[in-house]
Amino acid sequence: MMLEKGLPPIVFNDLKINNISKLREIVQLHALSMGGHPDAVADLVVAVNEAAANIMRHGYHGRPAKIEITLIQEKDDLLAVILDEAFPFNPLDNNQPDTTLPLDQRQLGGMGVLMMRKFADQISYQLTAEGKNELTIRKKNAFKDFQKENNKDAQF
Amino acid sequence: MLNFDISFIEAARPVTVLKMSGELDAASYESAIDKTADLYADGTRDLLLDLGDLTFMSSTGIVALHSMAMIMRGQKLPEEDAGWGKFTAIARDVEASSGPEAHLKLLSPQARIRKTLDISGFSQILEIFEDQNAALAAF
Repeated sequence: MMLEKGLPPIVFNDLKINNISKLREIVQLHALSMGGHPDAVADLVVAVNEAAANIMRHGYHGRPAKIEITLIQEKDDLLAVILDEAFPFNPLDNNQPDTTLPLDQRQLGGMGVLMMRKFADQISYQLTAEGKNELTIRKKNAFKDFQKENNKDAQF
Repeated sequence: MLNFDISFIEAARPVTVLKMSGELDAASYESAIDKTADLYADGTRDLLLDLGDLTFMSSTGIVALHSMAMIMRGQKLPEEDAGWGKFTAIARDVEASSGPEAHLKLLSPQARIRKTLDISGFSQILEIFEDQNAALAAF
């Protein structure tokens, strides 16, 4: 992956669910300062919020979490690379809830991952050599005329 | 942070309008549920959620909306750790009924929140209106 532009990683120590809004606020400010389109940034923040909440709930089980987020511009795309040191866990392994099924037939859990997938354009996971969980969330065309490029009336 | 404004409307039926402003997330969702429980305890039986100034809603917000719907039905809330199982009771009733929830409706969600409601399927369970008078008449 060729890195074009980015800011130093944002490190959140002792992150808890009750101050997750601070994570959103800082990520949004950083992404906007990089020149990201507000609508694209807002979508990315939704996805990042779901990822972080997932990490805090399932990785740290409510204990204070350490999460590192690096925002990167790759051509016209905005990437959020999220690192955590909880036990190895790929949130993308869970099956997505099939929302065409009646609600009482859907699998437990997965709503947060579904939202990540719907508000981002690409999500990938890897376990780093240091044993950290690394989740990369990509928002395409975040630095172009976002609405024109992504047709906000598109079906999903 | 999530803020609440409450108004009582005497339409064809008495309706409480609960305006939620700010962000509905994992930190604030319980306050929304508690507020609804308080309103129900005080006699509210039809509730319109004004989401016009709600700027953010996470997946936890969906959990809150479900709990609020159950409260407005006079039903006991599911266990804390029931996960998607929380949706089963309401889902069964919606499947058995001829329409969406009768006692909880939504007003003017912003586009990104509307997307979340659509993704989750909750826009089929909770009627969404853009006009308050139309919403009030629907109860």
